[in-house]
This record gives sequence, C-alpha cells and structure tokens, in this order.
Amino acid sequence: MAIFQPGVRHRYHNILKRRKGKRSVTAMLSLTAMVDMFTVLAIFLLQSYDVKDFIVYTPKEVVLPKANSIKELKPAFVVTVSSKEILLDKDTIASFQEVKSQSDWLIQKLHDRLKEGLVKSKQDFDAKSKNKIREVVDPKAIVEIEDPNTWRKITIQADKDIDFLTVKKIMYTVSVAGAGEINFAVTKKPNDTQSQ
Amino acid sequence: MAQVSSGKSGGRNVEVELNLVPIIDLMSVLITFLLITAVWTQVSMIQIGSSLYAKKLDDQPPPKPPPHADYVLKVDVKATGYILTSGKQIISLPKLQNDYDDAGLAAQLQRIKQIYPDKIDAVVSVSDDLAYENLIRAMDHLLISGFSNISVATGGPN
Repeated sequence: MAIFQPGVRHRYHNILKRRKGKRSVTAMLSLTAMVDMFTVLAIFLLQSYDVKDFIVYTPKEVVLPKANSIKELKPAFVVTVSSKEILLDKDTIASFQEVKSQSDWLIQKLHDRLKEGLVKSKQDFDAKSKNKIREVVDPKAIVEIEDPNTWRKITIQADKDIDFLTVKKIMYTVSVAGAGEINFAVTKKPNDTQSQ
Repeated sequence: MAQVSSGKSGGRNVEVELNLVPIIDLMSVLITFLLITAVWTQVSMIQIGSSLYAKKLDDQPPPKPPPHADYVLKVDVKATGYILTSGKQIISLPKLQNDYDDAGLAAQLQRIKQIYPDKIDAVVSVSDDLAYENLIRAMDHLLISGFSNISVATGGPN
C-alpha cells in the first residue's frame, strides 16, 4: 500500500497529478446537473403516482368514450368489445364480426365462460364472508360492510364507435349468465367541472 | 462535485466532498420503478345504478322503489336527435348542425330535477344502429343532472 503525506488530498489526486514527460488530459464529470434532473423526475413521478385497487387491460384498438360523471373502477369481470374481437378479462371469446352478424342475442361461449367465472367468484366471496364472521368474534378485528353483489359485477369496456346492438347482445348475455350490476368503462373528460 | 468548504481565513482548510454515487444509484432505481409501475391512462367507470328492473338473486329482498318512480323519465337517443319523455309530456330535441342538442337536453333535465328533486331514476334507450358512445353521453347528462339510478332499455331479443 502506498504511503501518503498526511493532510487533505483531492479525490481525484491520482488523475489530477501531472505525469512527467507526458501530456495528460483530465476530464471530470459534473454530476450535479444529473442529480438535479433525477430529483425533479422522481418528484414528478411520485406526485403522479396513483395506487389503484384495479387496473384494467385496454387493447390498443379500443377508444373508450369520455364522460364527466365518473367513479373509480372496481374489481369486476371485464368484457372488452373492440372492432376485432370480444374478450372476457384477457381471453378472446369470439370475433366481433361473428357476434355482430349473429341474429341470436345470446353469445354462448361468453355465457358459459362467465357462468363458470361467477360460480368461482361466489365461492371465493362466501369463503371470505366466513372469515369475516370469524373476525367478528375477535373484538380487535375491524368489520367491513361489503356489498353482497361484489362477486357478480361486470364492467363493459367497448370502443366508442361500436354499434349499440352488439353492446346490447353483450348486456343480455351477461345478464342471462347471472351478472348483477353492469358498469361501463370510460375515460374522464379533460376539461370537466362537474364530477362526482 | 459537491463540496463543502469549512475553511476559515488563516485556519486549516477542510473540504468535505459528498459522495453522490449512492444517491444516483437510489434515484435510478426509484425512477425505473416509478416509470414501470406508472398508469398513464386513467380508466374510470360510469354506473348504471341498482335498477328496479334488474335481475335479482332469490335470497335478496325486492328493492324499494325510488321516489316518484311512477313518473316516467326516459331519454330516447335516435338518429334524428333526443326524445325526452317526462311524465305524459314528450319533448323532441332534434339535432343541431348535425350534432345532438346536449345543451337542450341538459336544460330540460335540470328543469325536471327542480320540479322533482327527490327523483333519481331514469331510463335510456338507444337505436340499434347508433354508436355506443351515444348511450354514455345520454347517461352522463342524466348523472350530472342528479338522476343516478339509470336503467338501459334494450327490448327483447328477436
């Protein structure tokens, strides 16, 4: 290990010291500007960070209609209607043209898949409710009053230019399958003054 | 580099340098995490409301009818414009310059709300060939005017 003379040394003394007989070029990066930029970026991202319970997958081809009077999206089965296909959550159910051209309002595949999903969702909800009863026995546990229809909520996210008859077919099918509350996914109007 | 100089004139000059490398590391990780988890499109929902006519479970009690449920409030969205049914009165709001008369509909709904402030239920119907956007537009007007319990009239399958 090298022995140095006691006293203050510059951090880059090895780089800065001139070497005999050779022409040296010293380059030092100023990190202050980069740290400033990182700080501003981190503050901006932290401010716009939004923690949500439920994030819905929206395909690129789906342009949602805009509305002023909106509510926060809640966990539910999501039926997506784009100009190409119909999806339940992320699984493709049928092509849009197929559904549009059929005269029968019931979309059989969507009905069967949703019914299966609703049965499972009900079982999960019942199991959760039993746990809640157990919690009631414990006085320390916090009791939450939950909507009994949570397990059968449906969110329809359809492209704004889709014909209403196709949306009606979807609504009819989900109702027959046993769905309760139907909600429509929208985006917030940018210059709104009246919102809930 | 960031330096803190505590030197006094004539005294021993001590320069302390802040090590920025851990800060940069931390910032990089934080920014990467925030960029990956950021939600850029804010999707919300518009609620139909617990309709009196909606399908109910067997074990659920029948819902209590909302105030003034016997007074019909219906918005029909047709290719020619809006048709508002308010009790026995039918108000036609034709398209203005090829666009729906949203201001007219909003004014009529506000007027009805002033007459029946307790009324919260309304019905919307849209022609089959029209775009789905029109349903949302009509529902939005009803919600803004204070009619939160909306039903969508679809008719029966063919």
